[in-house]
Amino acid sequence: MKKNIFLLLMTFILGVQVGNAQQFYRIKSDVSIKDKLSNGSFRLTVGKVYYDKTSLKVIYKLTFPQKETIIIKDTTLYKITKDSVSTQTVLASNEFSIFHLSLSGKLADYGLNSGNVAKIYKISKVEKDKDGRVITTWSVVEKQLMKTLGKIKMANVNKKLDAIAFYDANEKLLSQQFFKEYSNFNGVEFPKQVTQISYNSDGTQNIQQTTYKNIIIDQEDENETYNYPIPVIKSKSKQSTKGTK
Amino acid sequence: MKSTIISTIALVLALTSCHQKQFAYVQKGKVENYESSRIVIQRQVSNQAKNEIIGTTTNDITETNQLTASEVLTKNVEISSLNNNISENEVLVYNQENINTTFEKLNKVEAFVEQNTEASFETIKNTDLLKDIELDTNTLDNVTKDTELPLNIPAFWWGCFLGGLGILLVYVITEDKEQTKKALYGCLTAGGVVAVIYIVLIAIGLSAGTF
Repeated sequence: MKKNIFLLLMTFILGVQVGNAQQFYRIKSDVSIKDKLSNGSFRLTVGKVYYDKTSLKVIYKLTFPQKETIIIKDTTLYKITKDSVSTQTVLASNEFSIFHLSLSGKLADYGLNSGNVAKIYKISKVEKDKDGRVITTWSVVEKQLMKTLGKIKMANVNKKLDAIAFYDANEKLLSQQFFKEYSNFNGVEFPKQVTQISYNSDGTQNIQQTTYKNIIIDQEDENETYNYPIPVIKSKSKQSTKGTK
Repeated sequence: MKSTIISTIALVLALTSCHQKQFAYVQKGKVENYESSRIVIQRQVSNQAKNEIIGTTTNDITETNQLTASEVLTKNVEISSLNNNISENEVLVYNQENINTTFEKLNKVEAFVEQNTEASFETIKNTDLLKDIELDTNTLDNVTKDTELPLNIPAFWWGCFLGGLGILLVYVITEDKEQTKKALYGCLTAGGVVAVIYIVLIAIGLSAGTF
């Protein structure tokens, strides 16, 4: 009897540990990105987005404004249309994309408490606002970066990131992001609406709203899309002929 | 000959001393550099009183490389946002009404495109849907943000102005070998320029001593 209880207990403990250690690795979603640019014009981009955490690759299969595939891997963006492949250097790492942060369970603090960033930012203030949201201020603690980077303020509701604001070193507001309509998809908390307001140096602003629908976590089919081959570009020119490896 | 050597050494020592002093002043924020000129520009467009507080906090940096969280806490001064008339309290408040109004017309286009999965810009460009909207069709900027380094300064100049720190900064932010290499070239270029200036000055010193 004692042996059975012991085995049951061990199975339960192991089960809890395995459950806690569950690693999510893929996300797919319908995506719609709306932009209002500072010059008054609008943009609309519609399609599907795929992210594979193991390969750190984001793939956009867009249908509007035209059919094209965009792959972002490391710091290179590949735009693949029917006739051509073009590349562009991007500096935003996929490890700080909403997809990676959500799959890793790090969206709540925007990944500020992990990796290289944890050495740069530390929490300097925690308070509650009138709506009961937890407001956290992150300040730069690396002295040599204090003149370059500014503080970050974030609001959390029920341990979920609700809003984040980025400042420059002169306390000038650079951008605001709002994460709304969270849903739990197989254990992954993901906001279905993300709104960003970016402020330009001339005082104008760009507003972007991204809407995610039909979110699928750890999809096991469509491997050919998640493993979309990175195009081979002979020279790092902006435009090149199409070719895949 | 002796006087030439002495004058050259004196010149080099004086230059080194000046350089060190200048560097120390720059570190303390007492010399007009790129960063301080940015602050000056900022001051012109924002509330002076608020900027005075910033000036104080900028100069109030301790000598340690890393501050503890508690030290930062004591130094943290609540300052209202300096632009856009958005206060610290409002900055995390979502104005849904404003956003909905902004995208009111585009929402109709979005709804149409989502219902008609084969729709493209070409198929709707002459329809009433886009009658009152100027639609930009560049998708690259939509899916990528932050394509520039902080302050929109190229990696080369980060290395050139900040040397090793600039290289480190570019590496930490971009994690891109190409960008880091550019910062390294900037650092080497700055070093080369300084070396050339020193050589020219020494040569002038030597020639002056000869005559």
